[in-house]
Parts: sequence; C-alpha cells; structure tokens
Amino acid sequence: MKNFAHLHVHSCFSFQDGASGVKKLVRSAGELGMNSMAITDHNNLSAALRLTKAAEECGIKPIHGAEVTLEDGSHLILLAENPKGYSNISVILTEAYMSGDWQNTARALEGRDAARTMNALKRRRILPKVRFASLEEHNEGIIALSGCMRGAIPILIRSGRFGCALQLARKYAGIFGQDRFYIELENLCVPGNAGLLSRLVELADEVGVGVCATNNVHYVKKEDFMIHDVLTCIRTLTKLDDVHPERRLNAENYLKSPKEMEALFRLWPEAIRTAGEIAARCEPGLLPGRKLFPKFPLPSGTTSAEHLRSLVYKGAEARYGSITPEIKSRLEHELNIICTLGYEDYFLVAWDIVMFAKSEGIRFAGRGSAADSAVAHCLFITNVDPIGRGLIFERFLSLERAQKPDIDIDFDARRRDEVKRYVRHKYGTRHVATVCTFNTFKARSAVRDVGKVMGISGSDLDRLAKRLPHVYADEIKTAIKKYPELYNGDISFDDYSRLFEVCHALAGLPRHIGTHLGGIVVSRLPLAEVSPLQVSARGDVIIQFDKDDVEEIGLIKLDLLSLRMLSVIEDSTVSSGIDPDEIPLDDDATYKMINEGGTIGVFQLESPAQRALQGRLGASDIEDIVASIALIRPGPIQGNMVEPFIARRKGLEEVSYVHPSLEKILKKTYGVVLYQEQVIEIASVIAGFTPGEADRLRKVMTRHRSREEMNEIGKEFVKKAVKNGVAQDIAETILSYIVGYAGYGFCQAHADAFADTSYKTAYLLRHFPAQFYTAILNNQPMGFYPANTICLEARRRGVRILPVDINMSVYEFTVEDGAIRIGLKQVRGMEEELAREIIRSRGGSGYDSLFDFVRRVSVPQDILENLILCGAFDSIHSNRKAMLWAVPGVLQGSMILPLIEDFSEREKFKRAYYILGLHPTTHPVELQRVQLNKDNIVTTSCARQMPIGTFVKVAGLVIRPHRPSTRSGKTVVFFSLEDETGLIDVTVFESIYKQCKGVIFTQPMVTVEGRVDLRGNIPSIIAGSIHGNVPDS
Amino acid sequence: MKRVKESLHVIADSNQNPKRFYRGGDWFQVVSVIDEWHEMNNWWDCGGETHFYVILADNSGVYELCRNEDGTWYLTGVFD
Repeated sequence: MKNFAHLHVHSCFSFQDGASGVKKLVRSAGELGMNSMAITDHNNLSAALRLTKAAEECGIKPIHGAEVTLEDGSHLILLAENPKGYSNISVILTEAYMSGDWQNTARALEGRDAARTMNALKRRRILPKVRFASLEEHNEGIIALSGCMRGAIPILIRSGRFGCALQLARKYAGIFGQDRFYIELENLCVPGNAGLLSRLVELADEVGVGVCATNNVHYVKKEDFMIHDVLTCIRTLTKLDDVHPERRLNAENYLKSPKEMEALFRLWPEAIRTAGEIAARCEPGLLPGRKLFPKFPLPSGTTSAEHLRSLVYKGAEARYGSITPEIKSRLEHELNIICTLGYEDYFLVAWDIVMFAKSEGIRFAGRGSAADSAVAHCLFITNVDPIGRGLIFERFLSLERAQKPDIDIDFDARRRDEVKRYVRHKYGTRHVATVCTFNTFKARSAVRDVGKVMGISGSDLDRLAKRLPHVYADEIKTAIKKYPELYNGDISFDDYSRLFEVCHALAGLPRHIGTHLGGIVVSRLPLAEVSPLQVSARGDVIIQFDKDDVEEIGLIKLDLLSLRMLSVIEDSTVSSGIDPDEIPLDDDATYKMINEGGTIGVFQLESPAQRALQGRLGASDIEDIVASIALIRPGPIQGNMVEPFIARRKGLEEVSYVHPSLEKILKKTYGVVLYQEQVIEIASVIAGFTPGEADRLRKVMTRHRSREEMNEIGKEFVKKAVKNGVAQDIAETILSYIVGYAGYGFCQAHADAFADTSYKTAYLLRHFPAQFYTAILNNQPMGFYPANTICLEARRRGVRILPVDINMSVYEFTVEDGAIRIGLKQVRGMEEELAREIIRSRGGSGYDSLFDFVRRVSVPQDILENLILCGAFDSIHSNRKAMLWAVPGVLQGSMILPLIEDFSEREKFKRAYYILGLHPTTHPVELQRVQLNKDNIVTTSCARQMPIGTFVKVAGLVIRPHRPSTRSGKTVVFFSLEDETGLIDVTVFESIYKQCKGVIFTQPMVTVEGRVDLRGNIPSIIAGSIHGNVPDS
Repeated sequence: MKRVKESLHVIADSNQNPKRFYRGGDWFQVVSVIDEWHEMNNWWDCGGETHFYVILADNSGVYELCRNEDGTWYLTGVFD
C-alpha cells in the first residue's frame, strides 16, 4: 500500500484561512512519517517554492496545487500531476483573476479601454472565479478532487439533490477523465458528516471514480485551532461571540497522522489507499532554477553579447573620452562574467529602459550594487564611475557566486509608471508583472484586527494601536515593558493581556498580498504559466511570488523605484534654470552649509544624526558624503565606528595599517573597514582569494551565517594569507578586522550613488532655497520633516512664505518674487479638478469679492469655508468671520455680509493651521511666547547661541522622536524641538526618558530642561527633564 | 426537532458513547447512533469540547444528547 499523504492542506498563504507556515507543515508531515504532501491554498500558488524547498530539506515530495473557487462559489481541489499540470493550474487561476481569457484581457489592458478593464479586475481580485471552460481547456496534467463541504457535489447532496450531484460528478469526470477525478471524503466530526460520507461513496461508485481521504488541513496541531478561529473571524468580520458558517465547529482540521486518518476512514480504507496512490503519481510541478529571462530584440545579424559589447564601448567613449588599457581591461572582465553567466539580455533590457527614460526626459538614477559595474555605467544605467571610484565588480556579480544580478533604478516618482508602461508595452502584458509582497501581522495591525474580533471598541483600539511602536506582533509585551510612554501611560495594558497573547500567535503570518515598491519581472514564457497573475489594489498586475521567490524560480527582478527626491531635483532645477549634471562637486558654500548642519530637506543628510555627524566630520569632498551615508546606519552606530572614524578623519587618532597592502584599500576611510567592497579587496590582496571567493567571505561575515561557516572561511583566509607571505599573527589580526567590521559594512556603490543625489540637493538648497523648498513642498509626503518644518526652515533662510490667495495661488506651491506661495492643493479637502476650475475661472481680472467667486465657481460649502478660514480671501475681504457667516446665504444668491467682529489672531491661526497643516507666518509656539518668557523658557535660537553646559529651558513641538539601536542596548531618544525660531536637536538618555514617562511620544508640545551641548559645531540639548505641560498648548 | 436542555443520566460504553439513558422514570436503550459530532467550546472562555449524538432509542424516538468536557450529559433535542 502506498503511504498516505495529505492532499488538501492550507498553509498561511491561504491568507486568514491557514494558521501554519509552510515549513512547519512540511516538517510535521515528515515527522508523522509521510513521504509527500500537497499544499492547496485558496486560489494561489504562493507557497509553491517554499513547499519545494521545505520538502527538499525534510526529504519528502512536494505536490503543488490549489483549492480553486468556481463561478458558483463552490470549491474544487486541483493537484499538479506534473509540471504541465502546474502551469495549467497557474493559467486557470490567472483566468479566474483576469475575467476569463487572459489573452483577451491582456490585449484590453494595452488598448483604449485599459482603465475600465483595470477597474473591473481590481474588483475581481477579492473574488476570483474559475470558469468551467478554463478547466476544460487547461485540464492536462491536473488531478481534481471534488472538494470540501463547500465543494459543489457535497453541497448538492446535503441539499437533497443527489441526481444533480451525480450529473456534476460525471461532468467533472468528463473534463478530467475517470482516472484524474476523485470524490473527496472528509471526516471532520461535524453534523451530518457520517451521512454525507456514505452518499459520496455511493455517488463515486455510480460514476465509476475513486474516493480519496483528506482532512482539509488548516493548521498543524489541534491547539492551533485558536489562531485559525481568530483569523477566520478577522476574514469574516465577525466577533468571537458571533456565529458564522465559515467558523469551524471543532479543532479537527489539523495535520493528522496516517494512523489517525486510517482510524477515521476505517469504513472506507480505499480512500486512504487512493490518497497514497495519487501522491505517488504526482511529480513536483514547480521547476525552480529555469532561465526565464527573455531575449532582447536585437538588430539583425547580431548576438546579444555582440550588441551589449558594442553599446558598452560606445558608452565608454562617451563616459571616458578615450578608452585606456585599464578601462578596456575592466570592461572585458565584466563582459566576460556577464556573458559567461548569460545575463547579456538582462543588461540590454535595463539599458533599453533607461534609454527610454532619457528620451522622454524622465529623471533617473541607478542605485545599489549595480553601481559597482563599469558596464552599467557605460550603459548609462548608473552615474557612479566604478573605475574612478575603485569599486569592485564582484560585489555585484561574480562567477563563483553566480547570483542573479539586481539592478535598482530610481525614477522621478511622478513618471515611474510611464516607464513601467513602456516595459509592459515592449515585452507584452502577458510577459511582465510586478513582484508581490506578503504583508505580515505587525503589532498595530494585529491589535486592530484581533481587538475588533474580541469586541474592543474602535476608539480604544485606535488609542491602543497608535500608542504602540512599529514592532512585530510578538514584540508587544516586550515593548510595553521597555517603553515608559506605554507602561507609565494612561492606558492600562494589563487589561489587554489576552489580546496581546493572540497577537503574538499571529506574528509572522501573512495578512494579505501586496505590491512590491518597484520590483518587476520580465519573462520569456507567458508569466501565467509560471505563476498565477492577479491585480493588486493599486492596479498593478502582480505575480504570486515575492522578491526572494522570483529569483529562485528563475525570474530576474528589475527594481524600477519611484523616488520623490528625483522629482524635487527635476522641479527645482527647471525652476532655477540650471542643469543638474553641471552642478560642480566642489562648491565651498555647499560644504560649508553641510558642515553647519543646515541640511533640512537634503537627501539622506537631513536627520538629526546626520546633521550632528556633519558638524563633527567637516565634509570637504564627495568622499566624505559617501562615508556619511555609510556611517549613519544601525550597524556602524552600534559597532561604535562613528567616533573612531571622525577622530581619524580629523587627525586626532593615528591611522596605522597592520600590513602595507592595506593602506591602498583603507586609506580613503582612514584605516577603518567601512564598505563591503573593502572586505572583498582585502581578501583578494591579502589572501589571494578570487574576487568571487572574497565576496563569499563578505557574505558569510555580513549575513551572520553559522559560526561554523564563519570559522571555516576564516581559517581558509588565514591559510591562504600565510601562503601569500603574510605572517600568521598579521593575517589573524586582519581577519579580526573583517569579522569586527564586516557586519556593519555598507555597499559603497550604493552609498556613492546616493551621495551624488545628496550633494546635488544640498547644492540646490544652498543656492536656490526657494525653488528647492517649493519642490519639496510640492512632493510631500517625503523626507524626514513635515511641511511646516520645511516652511519654518525656509523662513529661517530668509525665504518668505506667502499665504494661499484665491487670486494668486495655483494648484501647487510656486516661487513668487523669491518667496514661496502656498498652493491651493494644501487646503484641506481640495481636489485638483476644483483647484483647476478656480484658476480657470479666475481669468485675467481675478475675483473681486466672495460673491464674484461663488458666482463663477461651483464650490462645495465645506471647501469654501476652508478657503475663507485659511485666509485665501484675505486679499479681497479682511473679515474672515463675516465671510464665514455669509457662506450659506451667499451660496443661495445673497450678497450680504454681516457686520460682526472678526476672529482674533489666535483663532485665525488655529483654524488656518488646521486647514493647511502649516502657517505662512506664525508658529504654534509663538502664540505661547509671552507666557513662555514669563517662565524663563527661551527660544531654540537663543539656546543655540548659549555656551556649552548652560542650563536652558526650551519649549517646542516634538519632531520625529526616534529610538535607534545603541551598542549598549540602552534606549536613547533623539528628537528635534521646533519653535518659531527654528530647530534644536535633543538627546534624551534612558534615565531621563523613564523619568519623563515618555511624554515625548504622547504630547505634541513639550518643555525641555537641560544643558547645551556641542556635537562638532552643531548645538543641541542633553535633556535633564521633559514636561508635557506647556501652558495653553 | 424540539430544542431542550435537560440534564440526563446516561450509561456510556468504554468509548464514552451513550448506551442507555434515564428519562421520565424510564430507562431507554440506544439502538443506534445516527449521527455524531463534536464542537469546541469558547476557547477564550472555559475551552474544552462538547460531543453530540443523535440516537435512535428503543422507544423509536430520536434524541440529541450531548456530553460535556466534565462528563455530564444533557438531552438537547427531541425529534418529532
């Protein structure tokens, strides 16, 4: 007898209907003595690769399949008998998500009706429906089981329509063939189950098909029922006390052992036997590791390799002027590796994409390890010159590692979708899709979801969830013990201990499928044969595998990311009339500004930690900017690398090298191993590792693999170094550097690529502050600081902020005589179309009164009120209150304004600030200033000018409080305190943080008492106490 | 079926299945179990399982009995 195998199993990828991970299920199946197992999630194959890998680890055979939903809502199990069956299930599911014939739908998505088609598909993503026609057309290689209690046949039998059930079973048997269709028997100890089983067996006999025992598994162990029940409640929007047909009556849907199954089916042993026989017939359906990248369309008579070579050399001439032997050697080396690994087409596709962007004037910048490639540079994919910068290609691609290349390109955020459309158009909608993500339960989402299920009120849940930090669902209790704003706050967390226990149990389970920010795959085969395709909520066609899975399946991901900072560069260079490529990289004024920490709004250099670093570092060239980007990361901070680096940079600490060969490699970072590329170089130079071996060393060290693996490669390093003529003790010392620092190392190519953007934005801020901040305000939300802080910083730099004006403002923020005019878009509730109508109807003469405006523009009452309250009509009428009172009448045709006293300045401010989220002239703290002066509370500007060590009291808004990891493990909170005069950074050590009961995270405005400190040349405050009791806040 | 909730004296076999029950001054023999299932009690409360049996008694009556986690029995339904 063949071994029994479970053929109807839901993993956590049944999203809220599966309570166990794939690995856990497979491992348990192995432990229970089964030698194969299927995973049949609802309408997806997302678990397929994980099943293959876990099954390989556990030595059992994976069977791929899905439980599909048919047009009548009934379920059917489809199992892949072989790879053809797998691709057919994938196609069937794609058609279910894509309204039938996917080829037609794909054509519609490329045509005039694309938007309408996409909207229909978005609705369908929740409820895919498999058509009978799809089953008829794509049944090859598929074994079908009649389904659970929600299968059409069991439903018909239970409703007393045995004849119809018989007819349907014959229809299925006709589609799949009698040897590929089975009646599924479940014995789940639910009412009516015994009777149903007898009838199903009777029906199978009459149709002449076999019966197959399953257990409709939804979790591994009986005790996991609770998790599944909660997930079901979340999915069905029910509370624990509610009854719902989809909630299971008992805990029988666990992974039962073959013995348990045999006992349950003692009356029908053939059903157990059949399950084993089906399992034995099925081969793994998913074939990982195939080469699925498409051929790039080439000019006739040439190969991909030849075409790539020709483009690279043409690009090299443009980039370098003349091709020196060094450049030629580097390009040949890279081309050799690229062509040996067969990635010529991948580079050509990436080249083609950036050429499209260039031709359309879409700003872009390659980032990540691709910037290590001179080929990428010569193809204009990246801007960093890796030869000039001494970057190592093998960090990106090597023969030994043979990992798939990963090219990341940032595009102007507003135009990235044009690029995606181009790719879809070029390779065909059926061959291009976005990579998905699996969004797991985090603390906040779990609390909201589970809390609703437990019947906790919405307002309590909102308060609770908002208070929690952004941690995983199983870290809630630790967070409560750790953070004073939680354990000392006004919420009694003890009352929610059961809620947190349940949240803990949900940690790591995928909640729903989402869209990757920029990852797309292009495939030689129609993608529907590789993975089911569906439409995401955002309207992207996505595949059901995430970024890690796609690589192993054989697809190569291209990251087409949208970066708002590129939009800012585009806008501010256009409005200031300069060419960003002509920005000089040695502008003293820009470096001076950076060194003063005046970098609010500058890409990657604006956080308090970065500004503090700049004050100490004294950046004088782009190399320092690159280092800054690599230094302010959790790794280097925890590894205490920042201070030694600064000390060496400033000559306060001696720079020495234990081996003369290290000087060339580590000179630019003052003897400190800061970049991953340096690890590769050291391993090559000291131990004679091939670049590929050296990259393996880098990976082993940086990814904290097993100690055994680290020891093994470490010994190899020392052995080879000694053989290379390096003394044993020196080799061991160098290894200790690598071990000590490699864990914190950053990809230099990535830092280089970002540094270019950072410097350019700093230059724009220094020389064109109005244009730059206007662009930042137009591209919100972005960056580290809110819009009001940007306005404040602009004012501090002497750039005036002009109010919204019904006769002057356009939709966006604009530069007006060196000042920034607030755009209509900033008005709460304003839609672009209405703003455009306001501008259109304004004409040349403008509006001369509120009545004139209402007569010419059809505006909803609430928007009109918001316009009045934010001061948009101030230039034509000075009394906001009178206008507000008149609104209902004016909208009815009246032309009377009441004679009443206007709002006070304080009232005007409060309303305008609420409506705009900022204020053109006034800061909230300014309104408290009289009282603050009485209380000896000084401004941030005043504090900044005080000598180090001075005790000060400063009040302001709390901006971006955060708790980065520290080496000691203690909590240190950093935030910026903002008042009408600017910002000052505040450091709060753990004892003070605990004393102040976490008001930093609960109060918008606080008073800080502490001592002025100078980090580098940037003043800050070391907090001694913090209170949330600012008067009249 | 008429829904009731009467505690019941039941003699069960070694598998905890009902053999006989006492109701209204008479003992009834279980002729056959027509259907059986079990349900989880509220896991967030007391937990445990309740086992249900639809049985044919020797008076030709069809009854729904249930056995709680603690072994107590109830008559929960009488079929018309």
